[in-house]
Amino acid sequence: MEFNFSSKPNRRFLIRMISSTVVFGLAMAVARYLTTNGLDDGPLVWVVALTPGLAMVGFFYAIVMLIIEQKDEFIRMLILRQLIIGTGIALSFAAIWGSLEYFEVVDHIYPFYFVVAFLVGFGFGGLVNRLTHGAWGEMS
Amino acid sequence: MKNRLKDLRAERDWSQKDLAHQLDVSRQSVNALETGKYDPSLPLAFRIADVFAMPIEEIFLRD
Repeated sequence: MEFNFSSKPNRRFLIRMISSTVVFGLAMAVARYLTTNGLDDGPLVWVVALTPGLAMVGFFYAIVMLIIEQKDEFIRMLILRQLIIGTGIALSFAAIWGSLEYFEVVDHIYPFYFVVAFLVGFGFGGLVNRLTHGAWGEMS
Repeated sequence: MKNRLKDLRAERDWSQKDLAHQLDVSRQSVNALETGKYDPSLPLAFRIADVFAMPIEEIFLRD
């Protein structure tokens, strides 16, 4: 696997993904600390609880901007394939887990785990690209 | 769609990287075009034709 650092869209994508991950980690840690140490009501709870979610939206922003900024049409097609595969896997996971959870076969999980499923699917899409088209996609 | 990209590139002694640089695309794109894994858009096909100074129909062939 190779990452083309000479590509400006790729560098920006990497910076946006790392930034979102760092903000998510910090926001999650701060939110957990504050909510387990007395903060349980008021508008500040909304702000604290919303920040990790918005950081996760940053992942989607990074992917969308990569598609918009990507000048190489072949690589853009590969990224779109990854996006479709990731979305399909995340929605399939949501459908299956939701059905199992509804009938109380499995425990409840927080919906943001579907974002994790999407990111795993997005990465898997890169592998599919490598096998079918000889290049990873966003890593190319 | 078939194409003669690999032969035309070899005639000019260009590497995939050289051609990619002239077309302003990645080396992976050139490889995908040469191996028939990707058919270019019309604008890219015209850029390829310009680089080789040939008509599109002499580079890209019907199956």
